[in-house]
Amino acid sequence: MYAQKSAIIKGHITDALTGSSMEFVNVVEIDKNGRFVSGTISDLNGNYIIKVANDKNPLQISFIGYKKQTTDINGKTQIDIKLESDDQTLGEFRVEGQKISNDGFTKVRDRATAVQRIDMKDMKTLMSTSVEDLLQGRMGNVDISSISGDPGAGLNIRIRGTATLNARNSPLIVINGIPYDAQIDQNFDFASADVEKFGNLIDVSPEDIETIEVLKDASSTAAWGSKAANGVLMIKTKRGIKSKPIFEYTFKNTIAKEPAAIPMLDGPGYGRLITEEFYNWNRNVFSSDLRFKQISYNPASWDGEPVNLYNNYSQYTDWVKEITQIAHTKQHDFSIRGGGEKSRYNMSVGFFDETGTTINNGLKKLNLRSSLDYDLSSKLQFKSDIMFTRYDQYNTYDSEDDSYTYTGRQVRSIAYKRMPNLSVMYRDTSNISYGDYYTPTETLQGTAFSNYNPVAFATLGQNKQLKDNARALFNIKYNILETLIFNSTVTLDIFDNKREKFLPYKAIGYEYNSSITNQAFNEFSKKSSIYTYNQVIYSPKLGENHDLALIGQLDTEETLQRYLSTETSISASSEIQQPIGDKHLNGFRSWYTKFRSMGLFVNASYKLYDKYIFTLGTKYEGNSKYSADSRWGLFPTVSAAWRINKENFLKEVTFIDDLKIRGSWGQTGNSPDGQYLYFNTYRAGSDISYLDMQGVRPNGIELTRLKWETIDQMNAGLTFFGLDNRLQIEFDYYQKTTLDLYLKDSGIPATAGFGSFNQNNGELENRGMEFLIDYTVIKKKDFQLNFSINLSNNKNVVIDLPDNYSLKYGNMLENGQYKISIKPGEPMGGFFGYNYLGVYKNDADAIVRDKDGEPIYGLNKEVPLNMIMGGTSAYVFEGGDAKYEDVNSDGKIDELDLVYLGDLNPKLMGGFSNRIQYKGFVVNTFFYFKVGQKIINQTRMNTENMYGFDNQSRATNWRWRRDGDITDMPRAIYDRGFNWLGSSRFVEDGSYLRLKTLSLSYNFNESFAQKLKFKDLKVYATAYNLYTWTKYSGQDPDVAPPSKPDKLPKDESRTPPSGKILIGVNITF
Amino acid sequence: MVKYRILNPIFFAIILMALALSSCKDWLSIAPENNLIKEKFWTKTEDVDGALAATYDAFRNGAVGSLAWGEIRADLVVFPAGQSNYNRIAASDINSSNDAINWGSYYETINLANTLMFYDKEVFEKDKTFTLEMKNGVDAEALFLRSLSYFYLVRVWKDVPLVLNPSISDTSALFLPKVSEKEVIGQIIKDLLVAKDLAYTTEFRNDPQHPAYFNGRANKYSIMSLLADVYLWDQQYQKCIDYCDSVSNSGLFSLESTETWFNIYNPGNSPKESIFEIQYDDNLDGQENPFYNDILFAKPGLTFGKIVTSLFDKEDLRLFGGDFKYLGITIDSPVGRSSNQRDGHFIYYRYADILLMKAEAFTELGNFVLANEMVRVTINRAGLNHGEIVVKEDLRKAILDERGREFLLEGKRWFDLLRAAKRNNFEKKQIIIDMILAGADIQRQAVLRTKVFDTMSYYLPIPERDLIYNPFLLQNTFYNR
Repeated sequence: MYAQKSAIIKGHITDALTGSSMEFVNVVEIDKNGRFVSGTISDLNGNYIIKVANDKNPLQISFIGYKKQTTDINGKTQIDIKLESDDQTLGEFRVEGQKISNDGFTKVRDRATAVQRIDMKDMKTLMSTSVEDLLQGRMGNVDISSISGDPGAGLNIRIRGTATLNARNSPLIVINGIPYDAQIDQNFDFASADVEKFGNLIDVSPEDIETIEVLKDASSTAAWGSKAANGVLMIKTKRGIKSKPIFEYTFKNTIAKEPAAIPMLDGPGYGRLITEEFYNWNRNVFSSDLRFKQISYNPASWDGEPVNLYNNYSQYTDWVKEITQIAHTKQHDFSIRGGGEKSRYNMSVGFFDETGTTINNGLKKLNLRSSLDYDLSSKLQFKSDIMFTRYDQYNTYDSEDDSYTYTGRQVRSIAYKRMPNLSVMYRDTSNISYGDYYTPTETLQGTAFSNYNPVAFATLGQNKQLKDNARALFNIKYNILETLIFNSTVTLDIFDNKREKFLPYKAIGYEYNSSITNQAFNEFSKKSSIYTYNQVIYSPKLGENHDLALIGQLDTEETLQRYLSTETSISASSEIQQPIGDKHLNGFRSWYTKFRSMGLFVNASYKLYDKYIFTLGTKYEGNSKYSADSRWGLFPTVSAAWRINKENFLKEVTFIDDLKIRGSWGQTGNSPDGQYLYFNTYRAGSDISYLDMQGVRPNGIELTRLKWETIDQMNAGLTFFGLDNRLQIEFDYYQKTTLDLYLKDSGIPATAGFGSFNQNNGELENRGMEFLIDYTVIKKKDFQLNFSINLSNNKNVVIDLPDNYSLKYGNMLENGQYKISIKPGEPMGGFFGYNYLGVYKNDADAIVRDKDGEPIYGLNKEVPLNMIMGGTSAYVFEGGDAKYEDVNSDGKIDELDLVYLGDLNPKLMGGFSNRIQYKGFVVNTFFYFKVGQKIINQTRMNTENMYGFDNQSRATNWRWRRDGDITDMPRAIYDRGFNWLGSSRFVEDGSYLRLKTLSLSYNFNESFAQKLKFKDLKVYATAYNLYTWTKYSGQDPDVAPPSKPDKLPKDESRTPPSGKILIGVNITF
Repeated sequence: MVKYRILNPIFFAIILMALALSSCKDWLSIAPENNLIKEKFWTKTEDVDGALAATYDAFRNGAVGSLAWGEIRADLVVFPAGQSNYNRIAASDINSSNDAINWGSYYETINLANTLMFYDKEVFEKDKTFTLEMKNGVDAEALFLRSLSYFYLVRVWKDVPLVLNPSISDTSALFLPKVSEKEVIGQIIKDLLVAKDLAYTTEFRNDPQHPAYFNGRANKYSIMSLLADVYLWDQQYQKCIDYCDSVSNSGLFSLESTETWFNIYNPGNSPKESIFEIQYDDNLDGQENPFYNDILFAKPGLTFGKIVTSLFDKEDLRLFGGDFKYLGITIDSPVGRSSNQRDGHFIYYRYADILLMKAEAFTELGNFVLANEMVRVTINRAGLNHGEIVVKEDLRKAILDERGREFLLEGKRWFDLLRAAKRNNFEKKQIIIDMILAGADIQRQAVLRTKVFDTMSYYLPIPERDLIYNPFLLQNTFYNR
């Protein structure tokens, strides 16, 4: 027994190889428990001085890229150290095997599951503005498509197809081990549930990300439970590293331009079309109609009207061009990282400023992030993350508003159809325009309510959102024993959103006292969640050939959501833009929900001889949506892998580095959106009252049988690494069956007293393959060449649906509709319509023909029967009308003639990329493609129907005009006929191949950079969506799939993704 | 030297998990805070009142339908051209996918009534202010609304599912087959016999606080009127007369005079004549009569059938009624209700009906003297004279015509005709056949001529939606072909 004795130790640290002095080396005194007692770092000359508390404690000397050394003091006061460099920790591929997956405990190399990983290091030369941009097409069966090209619009993400009809389909996003769900539950209101407009936004700057993993099969997602039923996108952000401070600054500037729009008729062309439409309607010359004035460029027709009216109606306006602009994005990212033996830090700040390609759209974003890792001892470690994001978003008034988006009244639709001879700005008698927009209350096209001036509307209407997202994470990890780790995390997440909308009367042209003007809407929503994760990992030492890890995990979530909105109109002044004061109250809503869930996860993984890997896991999960009887679900998983190359018969084959066959099976629960599902709620209201008695009644029946939707997934795969890890091949096949499908609003007979209820009944299947090759052909210091291809497909089919869940939509006896019918044996998203055969060249051609094309005669045997439209309209087809296939040859076009027209599900999708590096230059090309999806080109339907007073596309110049014309474009006829029935005419093949990115970067050599006092200097330029090969005639074939089974895959002229050019610089110092 | 003392984490974790799992049953049970849930309802008197109001409201939602089923296939009224679904039915172009063919409101009423009768027992246990008398009154009203709904159902659809238990949860019997008209009528009679003894009598008469409760809510007299109507339909004529007499003998009811006849419709709730009216009030949110917007204010509007000119004497005061009954024009002030006075009630029973039901029953029992006496009262009130009729068939026809005049646009005509036709196994189905053929155009007549002999065609098809959702339901045989 001897007393502790403090001492002062000095020394000099050099590189063992070069002998040069080393600065910023960590020197730490550690006690026998591995706990840090004191520490210092070496100065610029490589000297250090440390006061140790106990001279019996050893010193530990470490520096990144060098082997760690431990030395006893033994009474010495001067200890010089020579550090040896450690290739092991820097060699790129040797580290691969030791890499830990983002779940925190599985080695990447030993995974038996279907997981794909992107290391941002590999993406370094490929700068992108967002995570979504980066991911699209790079991962098998991860289908990312944009909901709209507007800033902040978010994206639609599907992993391995659509697996549910009414619950959420989007994958779980996990950031640093904690679920991230920015969506506020809009489904509280059971009436209008539409997730379509709320895309996922991944709130992390690409600069902050270290790795992204996509977990696809049940076995890999098991730990996440039901939230992960549709896969997981796991993002790990950069953390501090042991080094002196590294500063990094990145600047990106992007210019974006929209793809070409459908060319529309100009003013005179529009005038001719309308005149003809009118003539065909009632054989009257339109010029005798008063409305004719509005399309006449002849001042004489305007006799008797004020001169300025003529001036306002005789312009040449391209409305789509008027609301479109070149967009700019600027991004600044700055970070500091570093740390010593005990603590490491990473702090970053990002600023993002984007304008949209539609006028008055934009997004400003500020990201702050800091992470701190503190090792109290080798046994006890703390981590903390703090993240804050502010969004300041502004969009046009119509966006995310059902009353516009589902009625064809969104800015872009209006821009397509508005009369091209109207003036944008008000013109006086001298044809001079002042600052005011020209917003007539009524035109030939109808009232300004549905045909407003889109420039005025977009510019003056306000739709602002201020979002604050904050997250704080606290983690403690305690290595109780060498084999036993306890890991606990608590996270608080807050999403706060305020939306302010205002529509001044000048934006739409109505009087200020109209109920649709001076409309002010405010919405506050707040969501706060607390997540806890507690893990115990036990990995006993069982000798060299056995690896066993047992994990137990308990997780909880509590989420509170609050919502308040109010809407008023008819404010006395356009300057009063808040819903306050003595105005007309249009609506007021407020609600509050609470959700809780709890999960217990146990998992055992065992590896024998580094050859055979087995995993067995179970998640036991419950949440507050279900009643106590059906609340808990048990979801088992198993997986196994066989590393064949370790077997004797392959030992001699040296080109194989790793060859593994994988298989997994498992179940995951999925619970639907909405809270309190099992409660029988009652409603009260004046609308159900009688006399002076206030009515109260149940909203529906109590749902005692509601239970978890179960997704049963089988996965088989193969992993191959060879040729010194330069060649990677991955293959996966999966079959995913959704059991007890949750069916919202299943019909019950009216005799029960209610129209519908929600039930679990039915089965849905997704099946598919994923294939990836990554081959680095040449790998030399100055020259590298790499190719990579991934291909995937997914086939979706409904296996079983009960009779009382019949999804049939669309009245096929009316123009413009398609029929949806979801039936067993057919994929979801399929739709039906008529087969379009062109145009009847004259009246005599519009007759009934039998299967052989011979005319069918009526009773008198002389005059062939005329083709008629089914239903009660009694419409007889004429020359110039659209010709549809009369499938059953009954002389009548009706529901019996419908044919299957396709579905949106692509048959095959994927991407291929190529990377060439020569000295400092890196060239990256990346192509992305989808094959076989069918899209309804709604914009084309709207601009080719020649049925109303909407402007039409230039393609209508090929319309049928007189007897005998042979064309594919029917005649123009106002408000009559069936020329735009939902038919194959507007269904297009949406296959495309897109040069998604082409980028060039240059890394200045070290000596040049150092002259500028930089460690590293990189400049780059990237072009996005440079070219798209497609037959699709719309602006963009990348149409997001509908979020609900009753919606059609329509291209409804939302803002398309743009062609972009990005230039940037990255500096490290 | 700082000493770290940390609770053994394993121990800590085990305790935590144990605690969590043992308490999670409660931790995961969260009730919605901004919604009324069943667990918190059905405890107080006002809960019962609220549920009763909602039951009346549900029945009221079917009132336009009740009017339509009583008139649309008959000959007095032609609905506006805009009501194409009704017009197709009027032209006997009927199929189950016609959206107007909908029995939802009746079954909604039935379910709410069933629910009310199921849970008011619980309230009776919990809330002592909810007396037995109040409970009986509520049960009687629920039974009345349920019976009236079923009476419409059997007259429009004939055989229908008989739902006597509430649809409370997804384990309730939600998919029920049809039962025969006879069984439904039997149930209605059984229920009404119980209800008439439970019901309020004159408690609400002249109640200044609730002036409309006596006419707007069911009481002993409305129940007995309905009972008489059901017995008449079921050819139990003496019982019909008995209950008509019970209503008469109460001394509460009489006919409005010729001068005050219009008061029946404007303002309505005639203190003399009214027995049961479904109430509307434009001043109350959601309680305006939809009949105005849908039918009366439509352009082109409602018109009368050809038969009206021959049916009415020019002097008949009631010809002036028609749709104007709802608009409320009186002879003295030819100004109708304005577009925001959509509060004409829908009259189900008034005293004139009691008299004419009795006339019909007496005719069938051979007591022509008393039958003539009854008919004479309403004819005289209209300002006309009635000559004694002694031939049974003539008397039947006279009563049918008089009912047509008296109840023009009160939703009775089709049921009167059908009741006359179906008497003694459709002895007189020619009544319906003639009317249907007269209403169709020449082309359509050719098609219909072969079909009208099937008496099942006088009933509507079961709505398509119910057929799809309910595998136990079989379509009316006429529409199955």
